[in-house]
Amino acid sequence: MLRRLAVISLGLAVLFAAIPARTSRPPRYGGTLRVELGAIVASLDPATASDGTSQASAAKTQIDALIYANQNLDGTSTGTPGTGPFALSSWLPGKSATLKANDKFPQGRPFVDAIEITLGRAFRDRLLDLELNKTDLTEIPPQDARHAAERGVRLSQSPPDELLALVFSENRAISATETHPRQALSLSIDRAAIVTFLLQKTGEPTGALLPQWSSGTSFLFSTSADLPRAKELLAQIAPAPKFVLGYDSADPLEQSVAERIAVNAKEAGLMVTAVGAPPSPSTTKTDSTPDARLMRVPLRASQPAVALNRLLRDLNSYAPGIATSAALSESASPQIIYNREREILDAFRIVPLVWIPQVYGLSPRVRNWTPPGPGQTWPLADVWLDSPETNTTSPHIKDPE
Amino acid sequence: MQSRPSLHLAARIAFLAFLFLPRTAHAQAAAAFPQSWNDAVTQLADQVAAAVSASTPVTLDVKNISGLDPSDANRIVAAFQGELRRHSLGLASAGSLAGRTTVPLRLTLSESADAYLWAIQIFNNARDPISFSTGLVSVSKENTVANGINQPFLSLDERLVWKQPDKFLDFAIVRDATVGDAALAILETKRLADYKLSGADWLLSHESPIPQTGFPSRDPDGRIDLKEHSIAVAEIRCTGDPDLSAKISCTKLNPPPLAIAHTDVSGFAGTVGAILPGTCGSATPALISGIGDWTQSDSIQGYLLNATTSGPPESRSGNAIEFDGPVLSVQADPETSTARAVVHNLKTGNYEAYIVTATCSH
Repeated sequence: MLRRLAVISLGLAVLFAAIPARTSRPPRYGGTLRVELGAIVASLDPATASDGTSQASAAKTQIDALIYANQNLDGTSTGTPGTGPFALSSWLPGKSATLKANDKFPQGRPFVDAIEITLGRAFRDRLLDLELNKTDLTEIPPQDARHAAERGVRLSQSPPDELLALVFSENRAISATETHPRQALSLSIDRAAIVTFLLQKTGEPTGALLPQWSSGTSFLFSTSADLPRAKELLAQIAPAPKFVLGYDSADPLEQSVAERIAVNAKEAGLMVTAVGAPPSPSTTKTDSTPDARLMRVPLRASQPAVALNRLLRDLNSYAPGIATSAALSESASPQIIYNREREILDAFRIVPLVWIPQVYGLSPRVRNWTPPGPGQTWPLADVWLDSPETNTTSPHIKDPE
Repeated sequence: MQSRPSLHLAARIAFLAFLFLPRTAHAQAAAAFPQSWNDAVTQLADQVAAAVSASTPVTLDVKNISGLDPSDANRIVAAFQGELRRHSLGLASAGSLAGRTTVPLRLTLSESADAYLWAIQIFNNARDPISFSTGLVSVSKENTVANGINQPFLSLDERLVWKQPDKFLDFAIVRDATVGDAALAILETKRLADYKLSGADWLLSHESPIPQTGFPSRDPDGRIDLKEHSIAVAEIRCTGDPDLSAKISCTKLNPPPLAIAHTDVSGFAGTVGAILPGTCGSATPALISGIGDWTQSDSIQGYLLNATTSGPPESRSGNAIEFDGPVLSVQADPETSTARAVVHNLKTGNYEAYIVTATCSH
């Protein structure tokens, strides 16, 4: 067959007036955006720290950012009313909040007239509400993302921006030999299985403190399990050490990962006992304090040096002294950032496991939603709602425009 | 950032200029290597030279996990190998030096949130394969943009419009002049079929026979030109009302009407394709099929045709769209960045009509 390249002459014209090209439609003002959250937020006062779980703290930060736009240098809100894109119009602590669009918002009035936020809603109810179009936006636990997608829920996923890591609380200088049990534990963990089975492929196995997309060096840290090497290290220690591994008892993902780690460790000859613990890890050492704890630490910046500094600061709150060196300069070279990561990880006080993305479920009428990046808040001032009659959005999308 | 290729007469002129530019001029320009890249590979090779004795041969394993184009990656690797040779380091292929001690090197082209990152891993300890020293260099992506290396790319989307068991040559979606309803014109070798939308289905509303002349072709060519209210099949040109939904009158032309619209472009022999209007960056976008025959699956790949004297003359851009059979024709819409493609699906036996949209992304 002779196949030719057909070059269309300038005079050849075919009209496609009836074909709606994939151009973005002009935004539509109006409507009420319905948001459902699993967390229970007791107070929206920006001066009051959240007294609940990290989920509650994150939800409070998001809602505060909608009401109080101005931020202090450390990222906390100034708490000046009227500065955010929305204003609080009603508030039932722990149950619901209604926000009205701020017509005088300096960056322009939000497209939606109002946001109704329902708090403390269980995941199954949120998923059902999404399917029944009773809500527009909700968080989906990453381990349930695949299940939600299979049920036809429209999903939006951020780049992996939350580190699930195992953190040892012990704060004393230990010799190289004393790190062997921790190293053996790290080598015994099958991170790929955690991602494949427990997270249903929503996440990335990691051996690094920063995600690959941020640092570009994550691939230099091995994620493979190496049972022979783990056993070899343990053979040098007698008796075989035992670890108590704590996890947030309110977090089903942490629980399943902790139990999986215990199974992996047993295969290497290590005794690990997984125990549920209060959501907020305590730095006060008691007899019941676990030797190590699973922690979910959010990435707070995209720029690798800044991200690493903030990650270590967060980890220090549970494991003081985890990073004793001075903070990296923002302009630190990749080699310096990599060396810092390597130095911290070689002590085996932190064992990175998985980078997890944030997953959101959206109703078909939500437009202009972008999953927030590290350190960013929900872009609800930019979101607009499609009218039902023009709604043509596919239910299966990732990262909508 | 995304943008539609904009209509640009200058780009069309530039493209014509590209067709007649000597290939050697492109080749010389393509050989240019950004200074920042040169500095980076020199730095990496220096690190290897500092860690490995010149008497010890090295082996090189390369991975590109960045957004760098494979052709750029190859140029970086070639430059790095040249730098190793400049340090008198013997580069051997794995397995060619059985029994001799070698130092494995792994060059990984990676990227961070804001820069390209190239890493060299030096596996100096043969007894411990997971032990290595690492050298890292970063190259600003902005520098490479400034050097014209990091081109914008084409994202392709396809939308199935129609399928039928009988072969057709071209198709067009038109507006009905009176009620504004969408209509679909399907051009076969012996008829032009006009379909109207009824609910969710296209229903045949009118068909016009096309006179046959001479022997039937095994590779018939046909096209709908709504702007000219005409169709062309081999030597026959027919005209009708604006949406071609009523009677058409046909004449035999000599030379055949389609011949003037065909041009062979060097570098894409054996394919079907179309140049899209406008530009993507400074390049002209094009959609080109694969080079298989009618028994094979096929694809449509976006290309950026470089009409300037710097950079390669054409580069593959973005991901291809795969089809379960050969792409029989690709026709560009001169008004938008879309093309219409006819595909023969070998799995179902149907002939399928697709609208392919090319989006220029940065």
